[in-house]
Amino acid sequence: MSAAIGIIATALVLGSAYALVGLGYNLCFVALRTINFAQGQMYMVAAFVYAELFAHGYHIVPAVLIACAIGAAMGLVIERGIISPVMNRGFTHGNLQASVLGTVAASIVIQEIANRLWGSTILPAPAFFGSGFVRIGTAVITYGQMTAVGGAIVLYILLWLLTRKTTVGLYLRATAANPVVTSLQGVNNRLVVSFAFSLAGVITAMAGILVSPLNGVSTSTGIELATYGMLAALVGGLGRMSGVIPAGYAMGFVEILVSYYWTSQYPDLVLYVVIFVTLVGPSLIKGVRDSQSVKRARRQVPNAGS
Amino acid sequence: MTWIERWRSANGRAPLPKSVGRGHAVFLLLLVICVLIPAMGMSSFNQETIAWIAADAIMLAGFNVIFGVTGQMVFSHSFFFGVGAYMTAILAIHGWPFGLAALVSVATCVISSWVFSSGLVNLSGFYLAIASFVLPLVFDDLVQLTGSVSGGADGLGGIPLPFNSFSDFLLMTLVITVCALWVAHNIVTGAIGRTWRTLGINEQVAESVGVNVARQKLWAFLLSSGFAGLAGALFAPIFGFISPDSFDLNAMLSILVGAVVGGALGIPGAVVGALLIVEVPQLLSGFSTNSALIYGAILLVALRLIPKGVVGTVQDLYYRWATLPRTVRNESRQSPVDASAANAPPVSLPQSEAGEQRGPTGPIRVEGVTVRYSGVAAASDVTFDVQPGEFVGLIGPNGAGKSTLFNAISGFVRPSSGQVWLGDQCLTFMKPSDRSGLGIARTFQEKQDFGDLTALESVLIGSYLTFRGRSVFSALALPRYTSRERAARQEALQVLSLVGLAGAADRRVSDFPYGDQKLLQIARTLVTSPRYLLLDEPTAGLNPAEIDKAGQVLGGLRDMGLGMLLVEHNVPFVTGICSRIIVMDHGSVIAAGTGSEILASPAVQEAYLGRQSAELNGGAGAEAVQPGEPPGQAPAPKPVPADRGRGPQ
Repeated sequence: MSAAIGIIATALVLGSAYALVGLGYNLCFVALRTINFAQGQMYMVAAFVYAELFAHGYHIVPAVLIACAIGAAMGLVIERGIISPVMNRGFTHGNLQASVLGTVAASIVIQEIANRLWGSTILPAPAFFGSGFVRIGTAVITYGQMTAVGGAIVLYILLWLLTRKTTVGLYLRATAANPVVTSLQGVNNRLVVSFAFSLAGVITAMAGILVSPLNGVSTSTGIELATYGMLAALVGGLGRMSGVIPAGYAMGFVEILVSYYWTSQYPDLVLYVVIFVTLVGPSLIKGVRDSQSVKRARRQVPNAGS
Repeated sequence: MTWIERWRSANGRAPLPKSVGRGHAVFLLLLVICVLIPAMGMSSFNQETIAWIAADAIMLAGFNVIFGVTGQMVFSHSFFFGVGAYMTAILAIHGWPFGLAALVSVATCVISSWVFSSGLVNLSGFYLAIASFVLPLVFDDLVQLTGSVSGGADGLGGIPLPFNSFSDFLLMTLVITVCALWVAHNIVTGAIGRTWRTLGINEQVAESVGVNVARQKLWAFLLSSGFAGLAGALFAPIFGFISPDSFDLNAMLSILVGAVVGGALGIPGAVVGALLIVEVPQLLSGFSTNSALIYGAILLVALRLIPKGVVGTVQDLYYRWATLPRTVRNESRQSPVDASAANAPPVSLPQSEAGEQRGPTGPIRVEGVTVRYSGVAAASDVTFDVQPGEFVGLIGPNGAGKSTLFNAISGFVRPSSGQVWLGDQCLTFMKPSDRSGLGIARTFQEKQDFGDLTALESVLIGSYLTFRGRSVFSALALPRYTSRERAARQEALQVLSLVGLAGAADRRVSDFPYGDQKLLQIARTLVTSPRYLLLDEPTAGLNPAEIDKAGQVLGGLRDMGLGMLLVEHNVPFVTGICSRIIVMDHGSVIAAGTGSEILASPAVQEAYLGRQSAELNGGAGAEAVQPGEPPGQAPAPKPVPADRGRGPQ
């Protein structure tokens, strides 16, 4: 029982991180139809900034604000400095490849800089409400875990309100649907896109701030979050904000269950199998179903051989 | 007598173009150079570097095939490179002869990439990028999992050289490299490469000329992985030691840098890229121990400055120089429009082997076709036919279901019920690519992007099916392929002269005005030797002069006996060219007949101008003029709904 509660709590925390980073991916996708591969590294850097500031004696509130500001700034720089100019130039087969190449390069540059700065150190990060915990039977749930999950939920609600109930959110969704029309209506698309990337940066930074108190901050979280968050966005459906959150938590549960019952030695391999199944499975099933329905229909028509 | 034969008998043949698939001489020259290099007596360090560059060139050539030419975002290349290297190393250590080990490695790469891609070929864009992105991430894990044979994270040493001296090995490596690159170059610049480039640019266009998209992507991917495996096999013995670090994500990054900076669209770019990714870290070795940062920075800068890479940029510059309008040169190059005026018909024929022995003949029949999009019937129970040699127009207001029906006939939409027939052959369940093979060709309404392809190349795309069973021979530039290629070029030039663009065959498609790009689309469909041409709004967005020109071209085709289904908004254009017109509204056929018949039909007038106007014209309710309709128009006896809905959609 206590093991189950522990598993659930850890999975929920991880799931929150994946869901939040996945939301960041999704916001960028909605804004520019591209994926910012550097999202995971933004998570890592924001978490490091938060932990470093705290270590240098800052209070939690300014530390959080500064880390979020850094997250937003990174989002903005990547959008204005890399994605948009590169997409305007295009690559051999258009701007999709160009933007992916650009952000992959950016992610590796950020990762390398972080490796130089922090190496393999693991910095502790402070939880919002101290290191207290709650006992449920024999199970222990820390304040940090509760803060991470609760904070994520607050962020979901805020994001939902922002995109659904405000004018900015309307602009964002409208620009995603048809940038030509919105620009004809006087919406500054460039501003909207930059806003989306900054917002994605803030959400990603918040994910780092909320989750890193549990395991500390290390440079390896960058690539980990990049892939798992991307997976959450993919499984949830790129561009569908509502799908990302359950997908993120599902990822969290898969990871924890696999490491609890099997092995935690090869997380990437497990991840890869999950990706393969989620990406390929549906299309295989759909393909089989389609071909069966075609065969059935074909039987009723004479001379319909291929 | 088909329209093609009539066309042929009416016109002579265009001269055969210059021979294609030259380069045997260059190939032999390179081979000679390879033999000389190891004999030059370089230091062993230099020899190792050259062998390394050669292996990387093969690897990058493979990557360019899938990434640049076919345009698939595949990040698994370093993985297959690693598989090739490790397989060869392990087998060689266990005493296998090098050649056999290399062969097995290449086969392993091809097979494993086939397994990997069999589920993924239907993925595209980000999904493919991410699914393949993980392979370099797990390479480390796989090596550790198999640590007992692969040496684990510490690497694998003691890989034997297949020869006693390194210079012999270098000689073998260089000869293999030159041969492999020559084959790759022939493939990329030949008919297969053209098809693959089309896949990267626009899959629908490829499908519409008969390309099995999934299969071609798979072939490109297998070739690319095979090259990666070969490169790995040659790489393993160079230093006698390999470790998983050489094949992880950073290795993938260096591959990307090589492809982008060198130029991803061809094999020369791969050689330049290989030079770069081997030499740059060595040049910078005193300055930095970790090259990933530098690679990332180079990639970012290159994407901004030279997204087409060194080779692509040079080609661009040459193209711009070659197409400069200049009076000094004897052979004055004109803008495409002028050139077309100068090269007005002699109209001549496309000669096609596939065209004459194709399956069923007879009319296209649409029988009770209904197409639903999630409950909404875009076309419901539509029945009509197009007889051979008949020009049929399909008109109707926006949202009438014309394009849906058009897609149902060409295969891009599958009807919910009803059948489409060609003669007695049922087309309903055929892929668009198969329908193209039966002689049904289509154009697209929107402007198509053709990257850097020239007008001639964009037309040659259409001759894909005539290379059936021959395109493989392009790898060695064998006559069986080159003769076909020359003939295809001849046909393409002839079709270009039919649409009046032969003078600008070497200009890039993006240089042409909009109207001429639409004519190029028609030309591309013509080299597929169609029986029926399906044209989707060929005059949308064209100016009156361009519309006239398109009308002349289509009129010429009608006289040659080609059948056509024309979806249009420009009613005068349709009435001028089509013998029969079908009017659709709200998914059903509301009228059919000659131009004057359908214009007189009350149902048509209602569909175009609204109920009140129709009543008005019938003489009833003169006061019921809609606010939007100018009253002065109302008393006109037969309002021609010509300008409704014209213009870009």
